[in-house]
Amino acid sequence: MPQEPIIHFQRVSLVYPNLVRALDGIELEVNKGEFCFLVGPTGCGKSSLLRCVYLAEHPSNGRLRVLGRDITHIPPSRTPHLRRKIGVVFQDFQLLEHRTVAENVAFALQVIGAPVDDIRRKVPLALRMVGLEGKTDMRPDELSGGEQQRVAIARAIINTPPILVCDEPTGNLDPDTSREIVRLLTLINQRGTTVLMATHDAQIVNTFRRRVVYIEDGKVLWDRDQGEYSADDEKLRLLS
Amino acid sequence: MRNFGFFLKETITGIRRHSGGSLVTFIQVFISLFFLGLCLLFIINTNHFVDSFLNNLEMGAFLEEGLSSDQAVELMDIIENLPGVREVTYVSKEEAFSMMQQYTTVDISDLVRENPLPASLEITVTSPRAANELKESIALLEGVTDVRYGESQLQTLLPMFYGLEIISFFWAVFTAGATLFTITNTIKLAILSRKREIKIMQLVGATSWFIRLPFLIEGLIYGVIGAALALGLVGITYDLVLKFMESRNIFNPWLVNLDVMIGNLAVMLFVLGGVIGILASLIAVDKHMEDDVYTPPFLKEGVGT
Repeated sequence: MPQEPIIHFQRVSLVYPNLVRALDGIELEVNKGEFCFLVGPTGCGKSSLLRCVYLAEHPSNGRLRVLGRDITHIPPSRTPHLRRKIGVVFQDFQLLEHRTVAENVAFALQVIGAPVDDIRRKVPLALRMVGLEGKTDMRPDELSGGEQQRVAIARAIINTPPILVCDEPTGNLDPDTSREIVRLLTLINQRGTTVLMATHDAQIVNTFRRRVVYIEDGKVLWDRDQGEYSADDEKLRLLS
Repeated sequence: MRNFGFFLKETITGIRRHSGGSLVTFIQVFISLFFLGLCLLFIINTNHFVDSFLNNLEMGAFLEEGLSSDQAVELMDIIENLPGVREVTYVSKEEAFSMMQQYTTVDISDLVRENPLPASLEITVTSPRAANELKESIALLEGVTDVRYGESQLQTLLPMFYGLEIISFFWAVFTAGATLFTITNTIKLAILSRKREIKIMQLVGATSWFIRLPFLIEGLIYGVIGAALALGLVGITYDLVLKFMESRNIFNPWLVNLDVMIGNLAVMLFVLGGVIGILASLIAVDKHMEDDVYTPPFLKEGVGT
């Protein structure tokens, strides 16, 4: 029996209150353990698609299944428990400036009421995983951009979520640091976490050679395994 | 229990971390509750004054000359059993005369040859509303010549008292509303600086009550400490007023004494302060929880989707 996709968009559309159509009949299946790049021009709908996955938006039409559950019209009271199974990483890190690295990571467990012993055990493990074990007591403003993103990744994975959603995680980083961050994400992926990453960075996509889904005007235009992507793809589309 | 420790730690850390904003919040809550306390001071005294006046309303039933003591006792029994009567006291001709003498320094026995005052029954009524009906019932009884209770004054005072009570009530509601509004806005500002925390909590799967609770505890702390400070200042103000009136020999039988007033105010201010603090936090934090989870800057600006 074929395994059900961990994320399954079925003709999903999303129209914002200002009537902007962000997604237009998206068809997408992401299987468990996959690493998938979402690419496309600015405003194409990548972030909106990710927002649907981490339940920040609800599709206007179609059906969306995540982790085997239909979340198209999931009531707000049910969202917190599902969000614990979806780690999220953003371009601007979203760290709490007044907390140390360890406190930022622990915060994700504290606010879901995790036992103190669990927190003490998991935080050093997560920080070791992202290579920040020596910087636990530093504050975010004492870290480089890459290190801050590692803290954000540690926070996102500390609850061992089956899905990790990354929205332009390398957008604020230099090319070398970007490659390190994506390498870290691939490591997390190798441990079984499904990674869905939106990016503009063709170099990153072409270096890591994973599945690439190209989105434009809220639609999936092409979807290739170990695909390549070039800014020319966008130009060609525009010319045609 | 372990969560409660986290909530308390988060609350205290939050207050300390934003110590400048927290101090402003404490001061604003304190000032708001101080004005609410002054309003309550007025209301408690007004109610006490109206209650004292109305609960001590007395009616005099004057008895026929030569009525025997048996007949008077029988009348007392009948009147005591009438609805709206709390107490009936017999006042003999002699007692009435000596009571009248107390009101003047002139020896009135020099002015009259014999005691002109009739024996009477002093009737304390339970409700001034029923006084007129009661008067008519008593006047019909055999042995009663006349019944009086100062109805004309009461008809003038009653609407005034009720008006005073209504004004006090609306003043209290208005002041409580204004206090709630002030505290809500103050706490909103305090929470604004922690908006990112709320968003991250939502993002990592904290339930809405888990997010709200530290802020509700914070609101409760603001409310209770503000109430304690307000109670202290209102108490000092009231004490000064009472002392001033005492020093000027201003007769104040209707004012509630300080201890009773502080007791009443403490209960009201702590309950109101606590409830308003929690309610204000709830309104303020819910406002920030409306935009669910994190919205990337470019989405806020409407640049991309």
